[in-house]
Amino acid sequence: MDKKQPAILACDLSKEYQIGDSIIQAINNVNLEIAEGEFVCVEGPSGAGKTTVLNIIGALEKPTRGDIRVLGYDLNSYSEDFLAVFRCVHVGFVFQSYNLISTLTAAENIAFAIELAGFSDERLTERPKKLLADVGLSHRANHFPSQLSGGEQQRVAFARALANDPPLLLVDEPTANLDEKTAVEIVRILEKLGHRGKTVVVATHDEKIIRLGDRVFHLRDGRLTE
Amino acid sequence: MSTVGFALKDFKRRKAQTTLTVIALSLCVAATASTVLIAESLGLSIPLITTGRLGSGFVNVLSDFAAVLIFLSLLGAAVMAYFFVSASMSERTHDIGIMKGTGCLTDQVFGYFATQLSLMVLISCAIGTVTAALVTYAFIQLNAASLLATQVSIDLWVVVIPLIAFVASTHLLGIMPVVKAIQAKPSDALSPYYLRGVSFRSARSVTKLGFSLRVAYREFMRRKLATLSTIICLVVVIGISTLGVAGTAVASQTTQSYLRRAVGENIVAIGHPAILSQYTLFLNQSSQQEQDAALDFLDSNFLISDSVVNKLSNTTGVIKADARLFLKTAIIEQQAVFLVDPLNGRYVAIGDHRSADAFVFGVDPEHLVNDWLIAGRTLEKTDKYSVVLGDSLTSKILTSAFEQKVTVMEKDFNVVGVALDPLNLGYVAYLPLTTLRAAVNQESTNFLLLKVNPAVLHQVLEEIRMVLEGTVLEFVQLNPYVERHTVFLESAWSSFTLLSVFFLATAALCLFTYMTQRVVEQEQELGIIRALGAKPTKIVKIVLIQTFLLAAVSGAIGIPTGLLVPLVFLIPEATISSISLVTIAAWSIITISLLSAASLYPAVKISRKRIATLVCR
Repeated sequence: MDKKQPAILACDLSKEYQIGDSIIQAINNVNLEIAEGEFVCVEGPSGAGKTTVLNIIGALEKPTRGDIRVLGYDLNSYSEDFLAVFRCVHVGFVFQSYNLISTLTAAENIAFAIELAGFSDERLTERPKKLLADVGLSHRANHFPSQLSGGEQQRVAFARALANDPPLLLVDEPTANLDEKTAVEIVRILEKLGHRGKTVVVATHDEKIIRLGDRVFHLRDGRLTE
Repeated sequence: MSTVGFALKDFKRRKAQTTLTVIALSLCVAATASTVLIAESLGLSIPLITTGRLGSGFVNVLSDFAAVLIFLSLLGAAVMAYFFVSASMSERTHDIGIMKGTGCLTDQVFGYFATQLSLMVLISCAIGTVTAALVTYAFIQLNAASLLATQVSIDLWVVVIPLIAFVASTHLLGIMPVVKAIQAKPSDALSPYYLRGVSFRSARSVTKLGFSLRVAYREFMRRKLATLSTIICLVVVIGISTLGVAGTAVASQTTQSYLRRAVGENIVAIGHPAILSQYTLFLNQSSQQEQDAALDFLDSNFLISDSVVNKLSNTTGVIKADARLFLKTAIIEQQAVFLVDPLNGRYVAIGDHRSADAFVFGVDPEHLVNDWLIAGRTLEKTDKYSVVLGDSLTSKILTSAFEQKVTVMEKDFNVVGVALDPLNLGYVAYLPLTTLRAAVNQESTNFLLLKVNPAVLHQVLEEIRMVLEGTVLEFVQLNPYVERHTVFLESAWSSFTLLSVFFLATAALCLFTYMTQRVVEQEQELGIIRALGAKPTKIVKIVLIQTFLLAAVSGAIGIPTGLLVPLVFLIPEATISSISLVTIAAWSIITISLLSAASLYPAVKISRKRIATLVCR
């Protein structure tokens, strides 16, 4: 594989959480380099720190120690407002538990992400339609999350992550809560994304997804190995 | 564990919510109790509560207002208890599930939470009463000069009945959410998805709205029950606050206008010093003035000769001269008998033979310098045996004023009007001058009122002084007495605005509690919005929009309702001056803004939380 420009560069990343008097070490001295357009899987058991790694890459939280540079931005040195814009424009996030906004319809969930990026009215109506068609949910555009199945919600979550056509896609355990058949549909979507030249980081322990990865990292007790 | 022990432990665990509930209920008690105490110190008669010394007249309007405010504040307290207990029970649903799941009987669970309610209500009663006593003490001290208060000590016994009513009403409404909550099945109550009153059906599509508004609207629709109870609570509280501030502003302006109309403006009274002192003494609001029992109003020394009246009437700058015959006598009620069944010859009698002493004025209807707020009509030139009575006198001796007659100086008079008159606290009667003269066999008058042009006041006063030189007569300007009375009214009305401050604070607490709960319930979704790229300010905006919607809807109902109650039911011929309009507008803006700001703290707090924590909830 050709060596490409690093999209993600993490050096000695550590993250600690304080719960009461005790300190929990979520990740410890993680080093990571992912090139633009790479499809990377982070594999590990529950509680290994996969979500924490994705959260730091996605600028949802800052590391306790270490440097993190994503798409050329040193995430440690920016304000919360800047990071919000960064997430909006550069990162598409697919959460483990779908995390759709329950009071908005499927189309509105996607349009909301587009509106946050400051796009116009036309894009607010047309783009959600196209993205929902891409994930095979055109007929569910006006349904609320509570009216969708788990798999459908996950597909809407993918569509929402792609709303602003971000160069980086972070996917957290996309098949963890799904049955076998639905999980296969999600794997197909991921496969398509892999061919679009986007940088994709998937936290998973699903073998079918791991097989799609250009590279696989293993996370055990907060330590990352390739 | 004992029920009291459980309640205390639970309070300790939920300090913030318990504190909010106790503060809100204490404010309700303080509002009610301080209104009763201040009304008592002003000498107002609150029906069923106090035995007022003034009892009627101008003070009737104040008394009615205070009585309505007290009733509404008790209602507000009950609604508030319902709201806060509902809020606390929704947080305790999980506990109820655990208690029932571990074999606790429903009756026992009820006992625990009912005891909690009782404890909170009793603590609130104690705090509220102490607060009210302090506020009343401060009010009396600050207004001692202008109030002419008849009582400077605080009699806490007068709040006993309102407190009993408070305890009863808060228990009555407050127990309802407890009963509802304990009916939940243990399996439902333990489910993380169980939220009482939450509808998972989709709300109507409102695509025309922006996303922040859409989220807010649908969030409310989804929690219809909680939203509705919050709006009802806010409407009641905002309504009471508006009644207290804007209603009071209108009432204050209106009663001042009644006063000016009843006494007249730019009036100079002329008469013997003894007569003048009686008149001015009884223009004051204080009830403790003693009438001069020995005064013979028809003494020849007190009379004003026709030549003096003519000279003064023709003085330049005198607009109107109102010569009166002023005396004090008994007014006696006459029973009215009506035939109600002609076939059987059945009659019904109204009234009795009650009587009261009153100031009686013989007046020339064409020269009256004043213009009362009157039910019925004023005297006319053609009237001979007609009388206009003061409202206090009417309510004291008559059952149905316009269907009964009164006897004055052994003559019978038809009651043609009932006037609001501050003089002698409304114990006054106005008869045609000629009739009274004939009745007392007196051709002269003993009291003269001149309405003068204020632009040439000094010249007119000089002229009057010259005319009266060498006589026993004196003159006095009535404007200072009117102003003094006006200050009394302003002070009396201002006491009711205190109630509004308490209730506005309660409304803010109510909305704060509701929005804090809503924000906690929405934490994950607000976290998702942030994860999608919303700045922290966007989250604050979303929460503030939600609060504004609630405050605006509640204000749109509560503010007009709070205004309509006094205008339609309490204040006849209301005067809405520009001051009143400004007060109403300012009050509306302050109310909506303050209430909207109530959620600022939970909004800012949520916007600063770690996104990862929120999303992973």
